[in-house]
Amino acid sequence: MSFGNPLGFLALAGIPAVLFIHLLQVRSRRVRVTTLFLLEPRVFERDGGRKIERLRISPLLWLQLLAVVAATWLLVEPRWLREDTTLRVVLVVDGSASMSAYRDASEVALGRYLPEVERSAERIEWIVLGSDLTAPTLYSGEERDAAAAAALGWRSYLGVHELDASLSLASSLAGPRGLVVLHTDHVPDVAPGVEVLAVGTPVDNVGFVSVSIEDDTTWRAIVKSSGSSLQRRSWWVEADGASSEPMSLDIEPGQVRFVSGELLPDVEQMELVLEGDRFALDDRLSFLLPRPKALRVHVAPELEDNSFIHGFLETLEPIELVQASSADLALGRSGPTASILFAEPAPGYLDGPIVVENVELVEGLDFRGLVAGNASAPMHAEDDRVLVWQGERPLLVLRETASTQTLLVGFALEESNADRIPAFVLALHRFAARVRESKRAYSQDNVETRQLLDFGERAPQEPGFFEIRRDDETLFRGAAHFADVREGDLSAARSHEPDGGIVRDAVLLNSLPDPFSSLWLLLLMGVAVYAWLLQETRT
Amino acid sequence: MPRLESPEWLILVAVIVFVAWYWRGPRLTKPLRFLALCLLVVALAEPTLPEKGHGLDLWVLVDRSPSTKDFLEPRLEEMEELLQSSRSSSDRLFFVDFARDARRRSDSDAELISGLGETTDLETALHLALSSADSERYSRILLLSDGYSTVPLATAGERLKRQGVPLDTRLVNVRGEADWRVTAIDVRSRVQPREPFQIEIHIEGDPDGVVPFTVTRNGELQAEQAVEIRNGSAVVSFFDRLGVSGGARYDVELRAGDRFPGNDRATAWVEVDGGPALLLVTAYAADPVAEALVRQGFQIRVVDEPRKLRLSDLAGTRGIIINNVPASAFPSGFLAALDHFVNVQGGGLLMAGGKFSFGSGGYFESPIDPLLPVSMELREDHRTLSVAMAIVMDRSGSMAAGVAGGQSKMELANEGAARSIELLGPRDAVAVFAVDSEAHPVVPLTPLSGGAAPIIDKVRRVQSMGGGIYVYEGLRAAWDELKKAPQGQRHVILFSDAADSEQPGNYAELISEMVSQNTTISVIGLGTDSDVDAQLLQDIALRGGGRIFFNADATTLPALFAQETVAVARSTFVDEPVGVEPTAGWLEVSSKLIENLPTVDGYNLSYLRDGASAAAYAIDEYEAPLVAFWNRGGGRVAAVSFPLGGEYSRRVRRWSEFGDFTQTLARWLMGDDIPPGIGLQTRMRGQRVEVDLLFDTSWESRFASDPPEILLARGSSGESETLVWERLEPGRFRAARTLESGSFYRGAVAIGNVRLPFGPLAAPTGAEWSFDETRLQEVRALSRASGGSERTELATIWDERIPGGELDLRPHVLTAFLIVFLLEALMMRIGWELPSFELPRRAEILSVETSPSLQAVIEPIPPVPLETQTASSDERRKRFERAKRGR
Repeated sequence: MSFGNPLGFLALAGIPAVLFIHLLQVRSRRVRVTTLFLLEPRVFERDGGRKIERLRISPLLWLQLLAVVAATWLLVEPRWLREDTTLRVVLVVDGSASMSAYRDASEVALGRYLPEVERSAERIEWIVLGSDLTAPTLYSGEERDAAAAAALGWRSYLGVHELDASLSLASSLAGPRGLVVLHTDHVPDVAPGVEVLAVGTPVDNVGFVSVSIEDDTTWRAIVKSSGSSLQRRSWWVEADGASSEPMSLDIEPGQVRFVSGELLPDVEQMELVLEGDRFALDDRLSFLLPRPKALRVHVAPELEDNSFIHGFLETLEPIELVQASSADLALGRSGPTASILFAEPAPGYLDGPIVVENVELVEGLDFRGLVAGNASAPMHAEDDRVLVWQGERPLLVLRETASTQTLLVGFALEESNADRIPAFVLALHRFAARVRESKRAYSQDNVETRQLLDFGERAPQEPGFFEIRRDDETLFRGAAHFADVREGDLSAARSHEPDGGIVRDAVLLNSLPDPFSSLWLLLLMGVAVYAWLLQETRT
Repeated sequence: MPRLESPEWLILVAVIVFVAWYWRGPRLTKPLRFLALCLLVVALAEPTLPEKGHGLDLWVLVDRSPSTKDFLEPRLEEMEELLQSSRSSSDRLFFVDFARDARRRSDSDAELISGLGETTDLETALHLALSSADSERYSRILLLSDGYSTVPLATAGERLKRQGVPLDTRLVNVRGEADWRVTAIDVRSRVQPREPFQIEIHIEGDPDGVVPFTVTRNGELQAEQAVEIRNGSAVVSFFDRLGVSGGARYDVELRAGDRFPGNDRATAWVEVDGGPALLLVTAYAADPVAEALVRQGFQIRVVDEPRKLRLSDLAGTRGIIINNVPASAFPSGFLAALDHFVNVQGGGLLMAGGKFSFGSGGYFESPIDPLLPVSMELREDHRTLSVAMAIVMDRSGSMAAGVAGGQSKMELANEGAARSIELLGPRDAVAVFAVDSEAHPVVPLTPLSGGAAPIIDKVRRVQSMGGGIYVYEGLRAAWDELKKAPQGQRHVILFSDAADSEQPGNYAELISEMVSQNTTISVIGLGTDSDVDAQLLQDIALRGGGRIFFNADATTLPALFAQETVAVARSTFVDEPVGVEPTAGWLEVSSKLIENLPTVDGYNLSYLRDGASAAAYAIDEYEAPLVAFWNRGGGRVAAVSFPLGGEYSRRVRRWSEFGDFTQTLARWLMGDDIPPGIGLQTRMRGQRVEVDLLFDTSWESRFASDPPEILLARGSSGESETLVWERLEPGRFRAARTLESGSFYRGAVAIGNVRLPFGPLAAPTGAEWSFDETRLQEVRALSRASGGSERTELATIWDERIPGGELDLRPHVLTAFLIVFLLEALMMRIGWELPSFELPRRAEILSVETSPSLQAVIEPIPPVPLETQTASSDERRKRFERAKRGR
């Protein structure tokens, strides 16, 4: 049951009013009579001087109280939910990292708002979605507490992201008569029909932004304050289970400061720690010494003296020069996994416009200015993907099989100016990067939370150290840190309670008014008349 | 008036009266008791108070767009009849036909249902209906459409809610027909000049077969081929290269003639980034500015036919110089686009003086007026000779159409005419005619010495009346009035629909006569220069020695009228040599002051704006700025009010520092180079654009304190929208946005004062035929949020009660009852009495009976004997004694 006009309960104020009236001393009616004997049937109830007397329980009192209660009942307009009514409520939980600062407020707000919503239909279908569309549905069912628990239990630390897509999905799920509620920590502009339940309050936050390793000897980290006043925080370094002495850092509102230190010898990983605040994700910054995969490279003897190849190899570090049979990347020879092959020179030079295909490996590269000698024979087969053309002749071709990838260069290196064309160098680098990426070997690096890694996986969403293992082999060790400083800026966080208009509409739609209201009115009429009758009888 | 939902309960009032009369016990005749009972009876009768009048106003929006009409129109007559026949006498029914434009239908202009445009602008139609709705009555809107609006419903939703108007829908299904369509054009969004690049065209559809197609670049045919569709799809690729900076538009069109021709077309834009370059729009054949800048090694693109400029020409350009070119010479929308170019994209703008610049060039209240560091307002002491102006306004049926914002074209034209009159001075005179098939004098030739207000009041009341505009009639009437004018200068502003200007008659002879008597004619054409009557209007302006403006956007009409009026009524060009006083302001731009320029041959009179810097002033009574500049948003704007070429530039061209001055100004206009370590990549993925901001670690700390911002604007003068960056990985932000079909987008990334512009961009496929499901969902969500629903039974719409539309008075009546009841109890308790009325007693009623038997009953009682009275007195005395003893 719900009430269409809760303000009607104010009518209960009539009860003390009735009681007060009955506390007043009855004043006799003044009747002019010619003779005293007419006073005989009168009952004098007046005690001289007093206006208040003790309350006497009388049938009249009860009737008047009953009238007040009946009027109140009619005024509050009780409504009963129809048995067949269902309301689908889609709760979209903002998965931004900043929400992590408002978990307690979130629990309170959901605990207050969801029961209100629940009163709007006999049966509520709860659907809880995260604003991260890649996340599965958090809850779908009819248990309010379970829905609230799912919303509160969801841990998502996304950076700034669009909410439109998830709200659009929610609107579709809710259907024309459903309710969409966005649970967030600010008050965004939303489409009509979406209720915003915001739980944010401005918070002074100081946090790490990023760290860089410089010259393999020092680290340097950026700290930012999004507070509204000067903030003083202590910070320290943790490594191998030991901590440095805390140091103090004063930082002005909006200021960015650097902290730095030397890398400890024989220490692979360290953590920078800031004195905690409500937004904890950026209070701890883990990092380790980056170690990329070493690439085993074979260089064909005829290319060993080529200065371009030398320069190219230097940029590929770390590398290990090996025989062709065990190479990850073979230059000038076919290797077991990846190769870059150059065409045999032929008299003359290639002619015609150089055209780049829309392929990722050469996207945005400008090969104009390349002068290349002719090649002995066309190098590509039907299934090859031509990356760059000069006239009718392919300049760069990508050949891929299930286990190998080959970059075919359609000219002889020494018969060209390719070493002075940045696009060519970049194309070779992109190919080498692909080879390194696909190589199964150990590496370690510093990454951002939720960063997409080479393994097709994302880094964890919570900061810290992590490993990626395959078949009991550790392939990657990483240190993830939270880097979206916009989320750490909680100065624009706001609270907002829905005005309840949509819920009220839903209540009206899904409920029936009291079918006996006319009967209660007639009863009220009878009570009033009977009360007056008693009153007249008494007087 | 209140209404009773259950009036039958009122019978209880009679019952109460009877009971009060018959049963004296409860004394119901007491006023408060009687009132309390009556209130309960009223409560039983369920009183309600309609918040607005009775009856419903139903606004039916009929989609006339090409994608819908074949499906809707066969059933439309039946639907309309059903709505007409099922309404009650208190209900009212209105129709709004819409496509790109929206028009309220009346009996007289049924023939104008065609020509509403080729897209579906539901937003405008909703605004028109909401603006027309009577706020004193309940209104609902019924949408008859396929639901695929070609524009987002950005503001209509809020307005529907605010006005409490539910939107009901009846959506027809137009999908499910077999056809071929161009699904994408895959091409790099940015290339270098003369760099070859690949264009891939993706075609899908049923059935398999050979489909001919054409490819055009900037409207010129590049290829005409056929492609074989196999297994429902095909990809065609070809190569191209572009020579100069700017944007190139590629259009692909299938020539298969299938069911939905609208999705047989697709568009892609390619930006040619030629490095730092300036666009010089000039009126001079051999512009000295161009020569000076080329000598200094600048990349200059000279445009001497401004009419051919496109918005895409701004792509890859760092600054634009407008050298003595009038505002009317630019194509529609180009000047409006400069605001975004300067403020958002960080471009530079320089306006150089001459007789066709500043106010004289019609730039007053033009879209770039607010950008300039000088203002061009009319000041009375600077006016030219007095002017007699006749404004001839089209009031044909097409002017009734609504535009975005809810106003009709006629209202905007009226506003324009009013703006013109406001700008004239007390020595001027004005005549206004509204023309359809004849010229109706709105205001005869009237001097403005008596005040402009009454004239403006009349002008604002002109209404569209149907038919087309008879041009000759309008010009003839204007000339007949202007002939009477004593003013030395006479001018006609002809405002006409470029697609509906009829009956020109022997206009050439008439104009010749007018021109011979010192009269000029300018034309404001509503539409584009490709409309059917555009040539006629151009010829009228040419013969009349005036300007021609074409603008399809009616909202700019007031500004166009103002530009034209100022250009005519004000002589802002001072054609006498004037001394130059350099100021230290130039040191903000250059390392030294402007030197060795003692005088210039003439200049445009203008006034320095607050916040702008002046580098030189005129040494005369006006002390007007000669060189002024300031920063606007991310860009820079300068104004050089003396001519840099042609007439009145002899001294300037001989100036020894001319080259240095122009190159200093040009360098300042172009701004700083993009700093190293940062880059931008844009990519179209179907209808969605992805913008990647790539940066190295040196930017990390800067972004920590000042995150980059990305702004995207639609169309020439669209508001910029801020997109959301998602941080993908170290050194990479990405923002994405689905583009509206058929629209042109530009944008920029702002990092402090640094701007990285991008665009033009466009969704590849046509708006009307893309059947974007997002739009359909948006319409449904809007309907739901407004309290409307999908209507399968149209007739039942009249039964709808407006949610919350009626105020239930029962709580008020019950509250009144409670108060009365308690008051009555209180009064009884404390003995207050209201005067009560008495129903006639039953005995008294009997006394009027004439029955002899009853008369006997009321005969006077005979006197009681004295002994009997004495006995009674004793008895009473005893009773008194008993009472005195306390019973």
